Amino acid sequence: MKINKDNHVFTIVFTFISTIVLVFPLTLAYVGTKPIADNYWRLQHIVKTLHSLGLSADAKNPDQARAEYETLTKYTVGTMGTDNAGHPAVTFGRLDYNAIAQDPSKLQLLKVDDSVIDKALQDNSYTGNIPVFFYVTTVDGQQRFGGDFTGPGLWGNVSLAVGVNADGSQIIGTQVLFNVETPGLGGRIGEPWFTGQFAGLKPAATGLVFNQSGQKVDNGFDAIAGATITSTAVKDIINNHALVLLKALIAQLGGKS
Amino acid sequence: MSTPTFKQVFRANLTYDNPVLVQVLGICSTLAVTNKVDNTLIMTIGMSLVTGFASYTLSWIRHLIARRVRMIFQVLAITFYVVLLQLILNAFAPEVARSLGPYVGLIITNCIVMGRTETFAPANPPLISLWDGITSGLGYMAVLLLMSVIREPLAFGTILNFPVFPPEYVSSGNNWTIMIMAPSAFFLVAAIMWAFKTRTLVKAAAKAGGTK
Repeated sequence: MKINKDNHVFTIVFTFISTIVLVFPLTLAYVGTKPIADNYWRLQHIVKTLHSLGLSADAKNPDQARAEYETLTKYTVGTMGTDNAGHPAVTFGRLDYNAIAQDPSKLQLLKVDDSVIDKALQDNSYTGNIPVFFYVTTVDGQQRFGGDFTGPGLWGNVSLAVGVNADGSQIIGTQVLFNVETPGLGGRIGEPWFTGQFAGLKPAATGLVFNQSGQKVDNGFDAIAGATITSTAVKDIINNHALVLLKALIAQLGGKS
Repeated sequence: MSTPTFKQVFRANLTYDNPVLVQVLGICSTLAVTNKVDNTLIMTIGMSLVTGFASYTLSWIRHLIARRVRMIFQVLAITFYVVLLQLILNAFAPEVARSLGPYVGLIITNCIVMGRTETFAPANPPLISLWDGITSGLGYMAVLLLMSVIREPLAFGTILNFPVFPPEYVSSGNNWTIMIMAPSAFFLVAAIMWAFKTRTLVKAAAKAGGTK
């Protein structure tokens, strides 16, 4: 039998069948690989959070990293509610940075456990749109405050883990949790030479600035040549999100253990 | 037209019918990924595999494809392999997936894949189409690797992240910033094309002169 390949019915049937045949295995592949990908993504998040707080952790030793991570006290911004199925779920609050900068008590903290962060990360593993989480720990009698902060980069979200000392006067560490910036250009924000330069910076009242023509200053870091938008995004996320929120967090929790 | 041999296809795709230098396809990614050798390698390997398998699939089903939705089906088949590649990278090579960012997804819109599945695969049997896809990818890889081997040392002083110039090259700010950015690839790809074309023309002239 010769098929008439210009026939409308044949075209529709062909399109339907070929779409099902190709899309169904992809769905299976997605469902099958998501737990593996999520597991890696979660572990990276744990290790980078610990590094941003100046704590040692190694992705090659996940159990130790997880145990260390368990000891952190974790908060988010939002309220406790229930999801559609009636299970308890966190409703993440919207952040009004200007209001919080003026009145730290506007930051509505909610203590959360790891399962809330697990779920939030699984839901956003492809977009990097991580809700704000705060981490508080005490090392040698001194408090340390950290958190995850997300803002717009050039192609998508940039998410940073930023940790500061007890009074917020000095940055302990910064790590890039998520980025989809241009490989070889903006994508280099994930490399250690870039993230390493934030440790020990002392942000001024207005936050961090770029070092100008090799002149290193106490609150300055080197931008990436050819990646102005991405470098500015990192600076803005630290200045306008991380430092503002961490300051409010310290105002609420500082001095308490 | 008779089916070309494996050797003919290999020669054509790497030299006188090179997808980048002669067909001038896939230029967007040529500009974008060639500032680092490792990114270039991964991108071109992924692209060779996708072109090969997409060509194979298209060729295998070539007598059945409804003509009106030919291109829709091509894109669907290409997307299938690209998404599969992306899922596999995400799960089993997450470091690579993170460092490549959006580029794996962009293989879908690579003109070379579309070009081979539209021209070669519908006219030839599956196995030679698979070979044609892979060798097209190799032709693309050859040009891109050459460019990245020039760009990475001049831009970052390294090859595959191993330093080839002293660290002062970058720290003193004497590195070529333009080599990091896409426009430098325009100059490079044009220069390579020029050298390549000149050589082909000289060869052709010699041949013409010889037979006189």
